[in-house]
Amino acid sequence: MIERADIRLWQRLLRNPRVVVGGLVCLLMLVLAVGAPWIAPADPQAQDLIASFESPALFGTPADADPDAPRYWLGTDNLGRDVASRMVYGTRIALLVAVVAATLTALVGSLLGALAGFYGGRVDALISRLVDVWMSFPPVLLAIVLVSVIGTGLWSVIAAIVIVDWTRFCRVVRAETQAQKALDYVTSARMLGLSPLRILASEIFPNVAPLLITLITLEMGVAIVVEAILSFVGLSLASGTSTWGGMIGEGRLYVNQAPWLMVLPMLAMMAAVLGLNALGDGLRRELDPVVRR
Amino acid sequence: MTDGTVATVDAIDAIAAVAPVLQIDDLHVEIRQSGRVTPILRGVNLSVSAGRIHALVGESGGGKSMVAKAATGLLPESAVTTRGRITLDGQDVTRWDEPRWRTLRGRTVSMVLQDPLTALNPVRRIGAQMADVLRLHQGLRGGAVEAENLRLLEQVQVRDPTQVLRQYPHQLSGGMRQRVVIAMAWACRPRLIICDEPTTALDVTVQKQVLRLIHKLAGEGQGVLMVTHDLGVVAKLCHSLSVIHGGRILESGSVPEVFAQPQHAYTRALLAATPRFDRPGHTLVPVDDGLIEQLDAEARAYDRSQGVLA
Repeated sequence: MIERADIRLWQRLLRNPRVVVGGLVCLLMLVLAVGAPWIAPADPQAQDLIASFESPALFGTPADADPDAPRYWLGTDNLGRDVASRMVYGTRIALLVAVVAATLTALVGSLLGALAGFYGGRVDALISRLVDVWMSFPPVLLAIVLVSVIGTGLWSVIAAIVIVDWTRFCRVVRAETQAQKALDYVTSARMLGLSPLRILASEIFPNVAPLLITLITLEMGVAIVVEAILSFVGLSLASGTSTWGGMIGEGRLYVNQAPWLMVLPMLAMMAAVLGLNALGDGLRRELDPVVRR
Repeated sequence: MTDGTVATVDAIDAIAAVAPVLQIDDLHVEIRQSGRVTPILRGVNLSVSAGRIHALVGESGGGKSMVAKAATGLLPESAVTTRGRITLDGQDVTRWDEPRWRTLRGRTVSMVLQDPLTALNPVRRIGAQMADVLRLHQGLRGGAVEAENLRLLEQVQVRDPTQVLRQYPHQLSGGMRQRVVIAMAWACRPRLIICDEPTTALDVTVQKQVLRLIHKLAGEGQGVLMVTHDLGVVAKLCHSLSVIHGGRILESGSVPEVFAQPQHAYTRALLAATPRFDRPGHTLVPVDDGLIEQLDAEARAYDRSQGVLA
């Protein structure tokens, strides 16, 4: 038997426009990322130098066009590569970075945050000072320096995001753990003889989890932006791989000639980040145990 | 002992004629925070016997909750026990550390908190929360946990216990929640149960049912320390009481004795400020400010005599 409370939660989530819109954006990204080889109309790396700077066929083909030539729905770039295919494959990288980086960031940050909030005292002082010092570095600069030190590549980008952004989770989870710890149910649990780790895991964690889900969703948006920034400055993947940031960086050079090269991946990135933020915001409203009661 | 303290702790023991489950002797506790020292308990003597309900009565800030916390090892980290002794079920627990306390909590001593809404975890089902205690202290597993949960809920007169076990705290009424909290506190039949204002957050009609329930359960041989400011509750439910103010026990004795002949001026003032059904037409008198000032002055004088600079 499924609980009534659970059914109500799902119904409520499906009624919330933010959750639905954000969820659809994520679903679309997931479909594009997983199905990239089948969805992309062409090989993203295939060059067709004769057909470079083709304008998007979506806006109508010129009258003198050869009816037998392949159609580029979103145009081609300076090397004649299909923009639509490159963007579909770019979704793959974006989503991979978003999911892995956000999860790892959440893991590291909330673990330290929970320890600081729960144990307080010296543990808290140490972790909190560390966070303070960490946050005094400009985050993007820190990421750029890090990647140039540890080398480029997908995993370096993910590592840079985790190292830069764990403080976000740490601070929020610490505050929330502290707040939960002061509540009577924790005293009750202590009074029944439960061990501190047990209380942290089975009493406090379920109360912090909704917040964590929300934060992870928001962090996914941040990760996409950071990856794009690093790609833009050429510190992410080799330019052969399609990434949104890399496309924006390359498109910048031809912005007067072929504006779609820069505009289209930017739009994709904005849609993804907006969608993730909407999802996070919607989830926060629906999952918050205080608002829920 | 300061003037005006009527020590009849021994007399209560004589009445009960059993070994106390909780014995607090001359307990001094002070809060030390950022270089300031604030005494909060100034020589508390208290004794709770098996099968008896002992009330700890006083106004807010008088040290009631601190006594309850000291007796369960839950004093804040800034609190220091400077003198005195706490004996729980025959063991001197005064300077026990947290891991040792954990072996007692739930099994030898447990507590019912004031507000049943916050005392239960909002995001876990009742059954799961109750199961924790049974698994931890009684080693029950699987179907045995479920069966024991049902038995406990029936014991605290919860209607439709099967359903309640699957519900979340916010789906239950205040009275039901407090019954669940009581069931959890009683689950392992601890020797001592501390009830910290267990009925304050409840409706009056529900209060009566919960008090009856506590009375019934206490009849099974456990000692109960009832922390309350409601003398009506004390009169109906408790066998003996201690009156606390400013961290000092001002008067102790059996309920009929103290109610008939209160020895301390503060006890008289508290009684005069409480509505009584046995005396219709009795006018309520607020506690005199002068009396409180005098008590506070006594407390300060006591601190000086102990060499504490407040």
